[in-house]
Order: sequence, then structure tokens, then C-alpha cells
Amino acid sequence: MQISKKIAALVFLINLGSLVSAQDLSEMARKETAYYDIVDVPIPDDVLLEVGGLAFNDKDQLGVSTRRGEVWVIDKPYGKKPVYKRFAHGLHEPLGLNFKDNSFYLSQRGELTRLEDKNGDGKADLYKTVYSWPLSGNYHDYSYGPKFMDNGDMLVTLNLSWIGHGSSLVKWRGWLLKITPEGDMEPIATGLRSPSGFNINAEGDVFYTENQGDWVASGRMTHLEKGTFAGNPEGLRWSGEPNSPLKLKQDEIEKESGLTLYEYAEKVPALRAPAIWFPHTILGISTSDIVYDTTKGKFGPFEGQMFVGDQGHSKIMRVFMEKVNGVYQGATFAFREGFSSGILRMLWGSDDSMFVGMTSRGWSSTGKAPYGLQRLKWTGKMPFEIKSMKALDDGFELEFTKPVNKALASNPATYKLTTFTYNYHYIYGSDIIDREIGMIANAEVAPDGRSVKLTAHGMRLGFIHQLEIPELKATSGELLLHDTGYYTLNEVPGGTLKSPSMSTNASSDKSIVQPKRTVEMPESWENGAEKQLVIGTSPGLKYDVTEVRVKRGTKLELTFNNNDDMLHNLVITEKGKESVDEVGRLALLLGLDGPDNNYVPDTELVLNHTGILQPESSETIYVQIPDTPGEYWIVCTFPGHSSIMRAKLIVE
Amino acid sequence: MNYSKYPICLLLLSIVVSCTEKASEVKETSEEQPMQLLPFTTLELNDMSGFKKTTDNWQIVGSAYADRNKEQTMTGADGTGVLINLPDDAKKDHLFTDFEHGDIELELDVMMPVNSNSGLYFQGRYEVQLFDSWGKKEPEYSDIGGIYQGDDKEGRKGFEGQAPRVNAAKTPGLWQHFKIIFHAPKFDSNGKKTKNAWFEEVRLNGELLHENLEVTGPTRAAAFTDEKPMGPFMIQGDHGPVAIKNIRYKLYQDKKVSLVGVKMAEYENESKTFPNIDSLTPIRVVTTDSISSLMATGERPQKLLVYTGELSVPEDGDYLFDFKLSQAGGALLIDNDTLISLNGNYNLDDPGFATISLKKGNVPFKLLYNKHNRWARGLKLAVEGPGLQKQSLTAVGSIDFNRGKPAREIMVEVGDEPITQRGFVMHEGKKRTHVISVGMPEGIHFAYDLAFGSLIKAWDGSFLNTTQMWHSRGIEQLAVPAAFNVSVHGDPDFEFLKDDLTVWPDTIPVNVVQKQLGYEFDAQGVPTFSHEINGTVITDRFVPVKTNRGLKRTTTISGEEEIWHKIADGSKIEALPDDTYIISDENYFVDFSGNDNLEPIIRHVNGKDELLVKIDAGEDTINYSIIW
Repeated sequence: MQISKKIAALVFLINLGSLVSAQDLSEMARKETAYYDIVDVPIPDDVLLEVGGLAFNDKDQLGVSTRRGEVWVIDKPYGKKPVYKRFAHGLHEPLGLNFKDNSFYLSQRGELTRLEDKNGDGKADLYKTVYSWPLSGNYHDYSYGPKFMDNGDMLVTLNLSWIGHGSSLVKWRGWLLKITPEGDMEPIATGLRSPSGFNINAEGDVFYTENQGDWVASGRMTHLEKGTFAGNPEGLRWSGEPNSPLKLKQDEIEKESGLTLYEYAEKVPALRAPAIWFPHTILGISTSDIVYDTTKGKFGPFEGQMFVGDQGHSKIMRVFMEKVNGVYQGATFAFREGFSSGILRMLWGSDDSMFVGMTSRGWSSTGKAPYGLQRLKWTGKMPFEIKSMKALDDGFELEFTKPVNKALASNPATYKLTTFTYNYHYIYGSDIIDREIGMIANAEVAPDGRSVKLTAHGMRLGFIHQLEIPELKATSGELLLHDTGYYTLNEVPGGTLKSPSMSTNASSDKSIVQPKRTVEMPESWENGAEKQLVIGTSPGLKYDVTEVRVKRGTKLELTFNNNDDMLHNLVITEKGKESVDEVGRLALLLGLDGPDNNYVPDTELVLNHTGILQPESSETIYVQIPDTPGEYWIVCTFPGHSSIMRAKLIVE
Repeated sequence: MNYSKYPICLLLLSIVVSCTEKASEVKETSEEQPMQLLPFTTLELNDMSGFKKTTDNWQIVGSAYADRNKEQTMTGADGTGVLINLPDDAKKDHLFTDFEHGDIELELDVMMPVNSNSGLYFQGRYEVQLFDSWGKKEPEYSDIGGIYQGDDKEGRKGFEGQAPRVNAAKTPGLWQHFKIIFHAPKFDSNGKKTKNAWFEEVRLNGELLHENLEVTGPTRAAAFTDEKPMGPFMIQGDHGPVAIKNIRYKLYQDKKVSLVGVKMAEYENESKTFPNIDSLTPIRVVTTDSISSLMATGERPQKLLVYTGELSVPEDGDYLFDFKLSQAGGALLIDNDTLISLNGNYNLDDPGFATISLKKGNVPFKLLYNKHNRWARGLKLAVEGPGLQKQSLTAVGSIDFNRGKPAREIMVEVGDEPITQRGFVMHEGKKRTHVISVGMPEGIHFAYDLAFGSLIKAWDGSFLNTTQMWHSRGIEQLAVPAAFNVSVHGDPDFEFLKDDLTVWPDTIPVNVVQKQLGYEFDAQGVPTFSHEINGTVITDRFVPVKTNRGLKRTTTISGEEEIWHKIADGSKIEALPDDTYIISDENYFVDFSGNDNLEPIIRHVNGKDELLVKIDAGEDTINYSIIW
């Protein structure tokens, strides 16, 4: 929950195109309201409900533990007049709550506690210490949980202390611990930094979310098993303890290896690359709770998927996860924003609405209230969403919540693929690094229109794959509610990635002669060019002109200035829209040969073209304008661009 | 430690680092810590030679004992070091010091017998009241620490008196500590008063009673009706018995150290340690008449400020410098010698003290402020000298000790039944992490360390200030007792000792498995705490003492081994006739009279007395009260 220094990363990604920008936020929340409604749970004025944990008791009353050390039990939490009763007080910032066998269980900063109301007066009498652990006295010594395992054992996670950087000042800060009801403790996994959200899936596997910070490039979710090292080395300080499940030492982790977490995990077997990255500032800034959709469709079409809260952005993300070659990975999407305060906890009510518990004290959030309790209810209306995104060895398979417009869905240009990753280092956060444009070469729509199989170029293991589909419509005509997914690709089915590389910086020995790239003025132009023209770009895959008029037969000196932040070229095609469409199609077919050909196909339909230009570079070509008047076209044939990035060249 | 003893380092800034290393090496091998204050003058109480001649009610004794069951009754034992006043109808004069004072900082300890009354008169004129005000809910000007009323004579309205902000009084018979900074009235050359006398600060038992309180004229029963630049310190003799010890003071003149010809050079610097400045070019050099962290320019700057100039020193003598930084580095060089070097990341609680002997006149200085943390700003340099009260050499606003503090304190109040609050609590400079504070409707409260199973503090009045826990992130995370409090020893309360000579461990020994079991509230809402030590189960329950200000503890022990309980420690523990013990330092009583079968022992170990009791294997119960 630290403030990010990496504003640059935000700006960088927003420029990618269709991402949600600041002024759209409320508009997005308004759109989302049609499908998922946020309802306040009224809180009495004298109750400071800084939510730390949520749990229902066996009477369908909602227990809420608070950062000020109270546990409130709310009767009739679904109605307009919930009744609050204080069940316990004086606790040490309990940031978790659970209920079992007539007792609430919670993690205080320094212990796991069972609270029992023995005399039935609605107030706990017994504050039983199940297990206590040391504390350093640092404010950042937060403790979370418990979650119950099937056998009744409990899991808790312990935050690192903060001394200008995260630090495990005492045992077992930065660890996941298992504790039996009898108070026997076993350390399970470490590498944790700020593990406020964790949960257990139907198979009994444990996942936790992490906040950007030192050693943590961006928000992420990691699968924890016994002996897993999740990435922040501070907790390894205790790996020499006899009950430590791993022996890896803190100083074995290089502070600045120059590698990504995925790459470093290939060197250090205990290190586990995340199953999901939540790109910082795009999908939250401080991920928190995880809940699984166990509503069997009562909450909409996302049965079995995960919802992940975000404290700083007061929003909820959605995660589709799959297991490929035994490794968890998947995609995350924006889901619902506009909550009143910083989301720390989420919990299903018996009516299959989601209770959302919030606090923003000390870490301000987009929702301005200091604390809050709200419910998220499905209105019953089906949103048009990317329901799932599965990895293939050469692409992705998308499933949608509604049948798609097949014409749009089958056009590869409808999809934009970008891959990127982050550094793994001791520094707080990371820039987005190694960003590369991928492309969708083919899109095959299923007969029922509910799924599409994409063949992609430029997929990379260990990278985040941003897939944007801003123009896609359902058969009903509506656009996707959230048009971007982020897939963290650790594995592909079968184990061998078959997506061709798109690397522009991969050196090629091929020297292909492209005579239509006329960068030298023809000797025949004895008097030089008759007209000079400069074309630039505008954000969002556009040239800065939509139409250019030139007299027939003009000797034109045309400069293309790529002032965008991505690769572009400029290609002049023959008369007619069918010509430019065909050039775009042929460009995609270049596949792996695209970079060497500047993504320009060898066809009569191309008259002249520039090379593929890096951002902030320009190139001048000399164009003999045809003698035949008509509507010619200027187009960028970089994969994914040609259907949008066009301008008319009208020869008069 | 006087840094001027160290070999002189060259002024070259690039060498500051190596000088520092040298200094820290010396520091490590020396157990001596730098002085944090210049020494006080002690008013010796070996005999009455420090006072003007007076009546025999004033005597020097070795110790004083106030009978807690009788009005105004006190006795002294042979010896020296304690001044006692035992007035009768014939002998009851006041006592005046030989020395006269103007501005003064004074500390002393005072013991009040039951319902006794006396007073401390500054310059013989301005009274801080002494009274047995123990247990009084709403203190008035006539209670201990109050500034007494002036007379209303000749139509002139006297000073109206000022009650202390809080009642910090301890129970009669206990030593109580005063710290007072008083300023005499000021006069022009014609003798006309230009400024009233004022109490800059009055503290009793660590609690602030007054701050910058002006007194318009002498208070009632003053020895003089006029006002003067100087006068003797007086203790009132005719109202009742009183004992006083540890009188120490500093007399201040109206002089200051000042800055002369100061220039400031500002450099870009992100490094936590000092860069080699010789290789850097300043982004600006300015002449300035003040030193301030606010001079680092830019938004959230990372800058190194280097001030050079001279200090104008008003007197020959020892000068103590106090350098404080808020997450920054800094250094002070006087006369080309590195006096203080804090090269790195230092915070407000890191000491930066050094003393140097200076001659009257101007001496060159250099000050570095390395603001390497863009989020933090704060620099303070203060100096104290011979007869010079501690003053700041940095500008107002250079440091903000209140930064991030809320407008209103966050308090936990007690209602109709006991209330608990867990949190971190300081005990003798150490942060305890598993502490539960319990507030009771009777107004008696305590803090219990669940990790050690030990009582650590007791107090009365307001319950708990949780501002440092619940305001914003709560960086300190401290729960603070909201009133004057007594600290108990804080070691684990129960231990297995080989014999009565075994040293009491200050933490849980490695061969002991100690488990917290939690606590349970009974029908009265009172919690009983349980823990287990190597299989022995111990429970603790505390309730207020009904008639006194005190805390009654009931402890049960169930185990198969003999175990020891440490009740108290202190520099001196004395057994009183009625099964009561008086514990020095913290100054409280332990009333052990409720136990027939247990016999505590007082033993002397490692320079302090300890009050222990041995409990045999089996089931047992201990009852006792602590009273303050």
C-alpha cells in the first residue's frame, strides 16, 4: 500500500491507446452500474467501521473486525436498517476475520485469536490466544487471516515491517504460516511483502496478492505452496530456522540481476513467478482481497473466477485462471470501479451479493470516504465481456458472455496485442520494460459466436500480454464493457510456444531490396521536387491528416514524421478501398518476414513506402504521383494498424 | 565526552567522512555517552551552609518518612542529603538560599506528609504551591504545582492564581519530582518593570503543569512585596512539614550565541552520505542571517546545504550543541574541527550532542544539512552555554515536531464497565508489542504485557491516548497512558530460579516455553489473563483498591514446580511495619498484608533491590496491592 514513484509507467501505458483515462472513470462507473449495482450498507455515525475483516456467523449476521480493534456483528445487513452490536473490543488492529464452531477467529498484529461468547449475551467473553508471534513494534507489522483449510488448520500471512524498505525484523514477518487449532505453527512459504489478500481455491491451492514495492514491480498474484519463495528476499532471513521449509538464503538473491522475476525463477527453483500480474496503475495500485465466484451464476456469468479488490483505486478486478502444465496463470480484466473507500475485504452474502469492506486511513484511495461498507449486486443484466482468455501454443482462445459480431470478430485487425514485463530488483516498483507490439494473424470465430480462437505473433513466455479489442461488438451491437485483458503467460499447452517472434531488434542478415522505398531523389528530377509534404501522427493510430490532395503527375517530396510512441510506416497504395484492404491483409501474411520487409508486402498495389520507423524518427521519400486521378490511400501496414491508420490521397 | 579532545580533522569536506569513522571507532570503545545537558549546580545538603540562618525547624537528615495514617506527621533519620522542615508553634520560619537568582532552571524532589502544605518561592516572591493533593479530581491554584494567588492590597488586584493543568500528585510519603524554569521580571535602566516574571515551564512527576505563565506580581505570603531582578529562593516553613532533596539548578543570564556573516551554498545531492563537495558546483550561494531546512529549494528537493560563518560567543566556557535531523544527514564543524557528524540517515530520536570549550569572541563554523530524503524536511541546531539557557540557532519552521499530528488527540475513554485496548506501549524506553491496557470505571488503569505475563504500568485519571496508533498510518503505533503513571519493573513476573541468588532474567529464558493463553471477562467485565510457563498455569486479575489510589492484584499459580514471583525492584526497597514495602525510583508502595503463607524477601542484586516471593509447587494464590 505504498505510493508509487512510477507515474511514468502510467503515462506510458495510457498512450497505448484505448485504456481508461482519468476523465472516463466516472463514465465507466456509470456504464458498469447497469450490470452491477453498488449499494451502501448504512453505518451508524458513532461506529468507525474501518474494515479489517469480514465474516458471517451462523445466523447470517455479518461480523466486521476494524482497524481500531473492534468486532461488530451486524444483524440484517441486507436491509436498509441493519442493527450493529459490538461483539468485541480492544483488539490489536485485526485485519482478518473468520467464523467457525460458534467462534470468530482473527489475526491481531501479534497473535491468532479465537473469540467466543460463552454466556450468549452477544459479547465475546473469551479472547483465547491460539498462537502468538513476535512483533518488531513497527507500524507496518500487519497480520492477516485466518483462512481455514479443509482439515480445520488455519493460514495467516504476516506483512514485512517498513524501515525505508520492507524488512523482516522479527520471525516470521514476510511469511505464510499454518496454525492448528491447538496452536502448533508451521511456516509454509515466504517472499511475501504486503500479503493483505489471500485465499484457497477449490483444489486447496493457496494464492495471495502482492502490492507494488521493493522487489515487487507491480501488483501480482502468486500461488504459494510449501517452500515457495514469492520474491521479496527479506523473509529469507529465517530460512535457517529448523522448521523453515526452504533453505534459500537472503544473500543468494542478487539485488539487481537485470532479469525479470520469470527469468530469475529459472535460476532459483524456489522462486515462483506470479500467476497473474496486475499492471500498476492500470489494474489497481494496491491489490487486496481475493474471493472466488461461488454463486453458481447468481452473481452473473463468472462462476469459478476470482475477484480481486484494490485499496488505492477503490475498484475490483476480475481474474480468469487456468492451470497449464501444472502452472497457474491467466488473465485479468477491469470489473467494477467507483466504491466509496479503499477496498480491503470482500465476502459473499447469503443472497449472492458481494459485501465490500473498506478503509483509506493512512493510504488514501480514489473513493474518498475514510471507511465504508457496501454491497455489489448483479442487476441480472448480462454485460458484454471477455469471459475467459485461455492460452494456446500459438495464440489465445477467447470466450465472450454474448455472441459476437462475426465480421468484426473474424478480422485480425480488431485485436491489438502488446507484450511487456517488469524488472525484478530491490528497487521500489519497476518501469514497464521490453515492450513489444505483437499481432493477431488470424481470428476464427466459433459457429455459435461465443468464442474466438486467435493466432498470435509475438507471444513471449514470462511476459504480460495486453489484448485490446476496442471495436468489437456483440450481435446486439454493444461494445465490450471492458475491452482489455492482461494475460500472464508462464506456460503454453504442450510446452512449446509456436507463436512467431515479432522482435524488431532481432538482427537479420537478410538485405531485402525494396525499390519502392524511394529515399533517394530520382536523378530524373532535374529541378528537384515540385511539392513538399510532411505527414505526422496523432495518438490512437492516426495520421495527422485524414485526406491529402495532390495534382496528378506531381514530383512529391513526402516526409513521414513518426512522432507517436510506437512503430509505424507509411505506404501509398493503389486507387480504391479494396486495394488498401488487400495491402493490409498481405502485410499480415508476411508473418516472421514482416520486420525485414518493413511490414510492406511485395505487390503491385503498393506504389511507394517508407521503412518502419521507430518512435521519434522520420524518413523522406520521393513520390512520383500517378497521372491517373482518383482516390489513392496512405496506410500504415504495421500489424494491427492498417484498418485504422489510413488517410486518403486524392489525386486531382 | 568532549569532541574537542579528538585529533583535529581538516575542514576539507571530503575528509568529513573519515573523521566520522574515527570518531565512531572511539565511540565504540568508550562506554561514555556524550552529555545531553550541561551540568547543574547542586545545592549540597550535607549541612545548612547553603542557606541563610533560620530557625531549628529546618534540619538536614538522611531520609524522611511520612506516616500515611496521621495528619502532617513526618520523621527524619540520621544522615545527610535530605532537608526536612518540622515546624512547631515556636519554630516555623521560612528558609532562604544563600544564592540569589534571576532566570533559573531548578529541579528538586519533594515529599509531602498527609495534608501538609508548603511552597517554593522563586526570588522569595513567586510561589509554586506544595500540598498533599493526592487523589484530588479537579486541582486548584492551591494544589501542588499551582501558582498561588497574589494579595489584593491597597486597591491593587493581585495575581489571580493558576491551577495546574493536571493533578500529578503522588500519594503522601512518596518522593515527587519538580522541574521548573522561571524567568525574573525585567527592568529598564530607570528600574521600571518592562516585563513580568514568568514560569516558562513547571513539571511535576514528568507532567506539564504550566507553560509560559506570566505572574503580574508577588504571590501571597511572599517575603517581599516589591519586584527585583534578583532574589533568594525560599521554602515556606510555617504551614506544615515537608522534605526536600536533590536540589539542583542552573542560573541563566540574558545572553545568547548569535550568527555572524553566514553564507549558504546549495548543492544538488541525492546521496545519503556527503558527496565530495570539492568536485561539485553549488547551484547558488547566498548571504543569510538564519539557518533553516526551508532554504533547500525546489519541490520535494534532495539538496545539500552548506552554511559557513561565525558564531558570536558571549562568554568563555563549555558549550553543548544539540543537532537534530528529520531523516537527513548533517555535520557541525567548529573552528575547523568536526564536532558532530551525522553522515547518513538520521532521525529526530538519534542523538547528536557534543560539548566544546569556546572563548568569548567570534569562532568560525560550518554546518552541513544533507536533505537526501525528498519527503522529509527538518533541521535543528541548539546550543547551551555557561549561564546561557539552551537556545535554537536554526530558524523557526526549520523543524516541525508536530508534523503530521492531528488537530485533536484520539482518546479511549472508560464507560460503565472496564475497557481494554491492545497496542504497543513504551516501558523504560523500550517498545512493548503485546500489551493490553485496561481502563476501569473507578479511574484506575493499568498496562499488562501479555508476552511476559507482567504488569508494567499503573495510573489513574484519563485512560489512554491512541493518537499515535489511529491517526493516519500511526507510524509510532503507541498507546500512551493519558496520565501520570507508575512503571513497574517490566521483567517477566514469574520465573524458575535455581535459588534465591539466581539473577532475575529480563527476558524469557531460552529454556522456558511461555505461552499466552489469552483472557476472559467475568460478569463484572473484569478480564483475567492466563499464561503458561513450562506447564505452570498462571492467571492474573486486577481491580482498583477501594479506599486508596492503587491496584489490587490476585494471581493464581498452578504447577508442579516451585516458582518465583518478582513483585518489584528499585534502587532501594524498604519494609515498613505493616507488611508494606516502599519502592524507590518509581516511588510506590506494595501492600502485601493479604497473604498469610507467603513471605517476600528483599535481595540486593546487580546494584538494585528486588522484592521477590517464592511459591511452592501446587496451587497457590497471591494477593497484593500497589499504591502510588
